Amino acid sequence: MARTLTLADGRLGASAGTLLSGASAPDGKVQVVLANTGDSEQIVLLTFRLAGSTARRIARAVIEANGSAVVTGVPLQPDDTLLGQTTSADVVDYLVTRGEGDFSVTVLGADGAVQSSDTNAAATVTQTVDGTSLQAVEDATVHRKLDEMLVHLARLVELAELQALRMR
Amino acid sequence: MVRALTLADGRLGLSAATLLSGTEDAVALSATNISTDAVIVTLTFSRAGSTARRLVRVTLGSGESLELKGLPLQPDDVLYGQATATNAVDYVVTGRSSGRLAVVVLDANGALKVA
Repeated sequence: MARTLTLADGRLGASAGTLLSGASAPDGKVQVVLANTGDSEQIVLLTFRLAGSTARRIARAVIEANGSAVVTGVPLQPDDTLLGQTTSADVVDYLVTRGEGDFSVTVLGADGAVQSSDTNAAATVTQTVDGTSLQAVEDATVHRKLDEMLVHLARLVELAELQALRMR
Repeated sequence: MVRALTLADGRLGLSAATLLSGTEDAVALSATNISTDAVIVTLTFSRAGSTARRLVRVTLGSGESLELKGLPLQPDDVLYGQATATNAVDYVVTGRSSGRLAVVVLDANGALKVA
């Protein structure tokens, strides 16, 4: 069966709204492109809720008018939720797709220039702070996968024991 | 089935026109301003027939290029493009783009454009 590559799209609201969750989540990494279609600066926040727990911020970006931001390498499982919000509703378009690679946040100005710490301090802060929090998310994801494998292993052992009993 | 490497090419028009549709692949796009004036290039994306969402809007100076890579498309998705001047921006779309999504602009010397 072909995997769904393009997962969600829409416009961010002024309060945190779900971009992707539940059955739509791919059990893999996703990437988000955000475009400010308005004529004023927007502060975009992306947060992540791991298995129904408290939402944690993973990215904060200041996107100037007609600028864009690209967030990549966000791990997501079916019971996780990716949320997003911005300063003003209905001016920031987003598209969520499957992705690969490490976590990164890149903010582009309206002239296509990558924003540096000199002109956009928030983007730099985001990469430092959220690189750490994403590592925690990835660690938790690995732990959950290990737990799932242990459950499967226990079931296999039970089945093997049952089979052995039947053979006697 | 062998997947195509080079998928589409042309020049951007004044209104949003389809650059690529009907493919299932991660694609890369290069759009270069071949004119002597600055041009605004806008790329939008329609997922499964839904409202077109803006991916990026950049002002390209003379000789500058917009490079996008790692953008997945499905058969019912459409990538659109437009520019503020006709016959000013050449584009090429290729398939089998690997790696994470990235959007950058290169200046007329091929250097990464940084604020």
